[in-house]
Amino acid sequence: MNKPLLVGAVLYDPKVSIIWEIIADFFVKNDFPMDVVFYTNYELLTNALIHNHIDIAWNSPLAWLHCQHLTGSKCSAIAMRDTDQDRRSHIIVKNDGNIKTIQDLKEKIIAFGAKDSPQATLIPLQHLEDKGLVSGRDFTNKNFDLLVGKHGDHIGGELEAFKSLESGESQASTMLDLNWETWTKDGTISPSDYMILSSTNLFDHCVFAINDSFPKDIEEQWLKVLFSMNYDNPEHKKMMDMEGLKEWKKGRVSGFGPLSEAVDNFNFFKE
Amino acid sequence: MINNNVSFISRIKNVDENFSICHVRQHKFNLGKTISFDIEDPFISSMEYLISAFGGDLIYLISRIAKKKGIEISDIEGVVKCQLENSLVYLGVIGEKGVPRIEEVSIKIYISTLHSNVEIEKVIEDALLRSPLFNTFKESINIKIEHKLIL
Repeated sequence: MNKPLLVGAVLYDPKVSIIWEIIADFFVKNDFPMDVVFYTNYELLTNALIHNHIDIAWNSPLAWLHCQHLTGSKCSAIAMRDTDQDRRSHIIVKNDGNIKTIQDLKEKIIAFGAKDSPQATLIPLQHLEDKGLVSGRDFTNKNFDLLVGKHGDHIGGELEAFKSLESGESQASTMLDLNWETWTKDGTISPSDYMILSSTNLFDHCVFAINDSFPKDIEEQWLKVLFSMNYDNPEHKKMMDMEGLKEWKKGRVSGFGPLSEAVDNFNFFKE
Repeated sequence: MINNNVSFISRIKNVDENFSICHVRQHKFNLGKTISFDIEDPFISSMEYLISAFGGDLIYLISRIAKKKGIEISDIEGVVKCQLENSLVYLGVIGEKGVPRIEEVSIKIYISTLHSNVEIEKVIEDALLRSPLFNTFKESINIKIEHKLIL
């Protein structure tokens, strides 16, 4: 194989390029030439994949559904991080006794992340709707649209939403469970002053996606190299810590139900 | 008319995609990528050499001019920071717009001396007049210079 396989990814922070350099180097060292092409947003990445400008796309969950939507489900999710599986989003409120149940959010302001963030907007909005609370009718939706097009990859939107809760501008905010865990440990959030009011159903996050026309033998070889990454290897550990995983897993599509429901309900991919 | 221009030469030999070796006069040094985002990168980047040169140029000139004026400086240190615009364009991110360029350089100089601030300000002023790097880049980059006297 002489021509490098092209993997596409959205880059929102130059430091993230290091992760991809390590991954590409690892593939090259394993006699699998690979190069990475960066895109500024998922729309460009999705277009690149469906038009075969790249071979594999590192898709956000929303980009994955968009690929499915555009190709008539003619693409496959082949791998993901262990931490991409079984995530939840939380609705956070102040621990002052004013809001005890999700129904207490009626007529309140809820702060969300970027409007295209699955974890900080779309899935929590659907969750609230499932509980009988409709945006605009039952509560006011305040989005923090940082870096729209990057599907909430950048945690800034979630952080701004939390700051809005902290300042009293909003009465609740949404965030991914992993961010709640990190921020209550690193002092960003005082765990005694805030509480999880409600959590969404489990969902999956990013995936490596390919077109179904991608040669099966190359897919298998690529996955073999990817799955040989080992957290106990210090070189791999650095990248895996930065990317937030301990193990690459086989891709699955069973975890996109909550987002799929939200996308359909809000007609997100309207033509 | 006598021309007092001087020339400088650096020969740069690429070793691999991560670094080159630069030969200047009888010296040589390793030069990494244009910009490194990896704190563990073993090589110094062009950007880091550039901002070090900015600071080093001023520190050297301030020390030298102070000495000539009989102003004793027991210690001098500088911190140089720069702000790069459109770093994602440098990385070739498709869809990013603009050009990658240094928007601002800020230089903070800490000077340990018993002399007055007025005397030190005059030294810095003279140093800036004589600094080739400051005078070359001052029209294209916003350069902020601050100093602080410490005992």
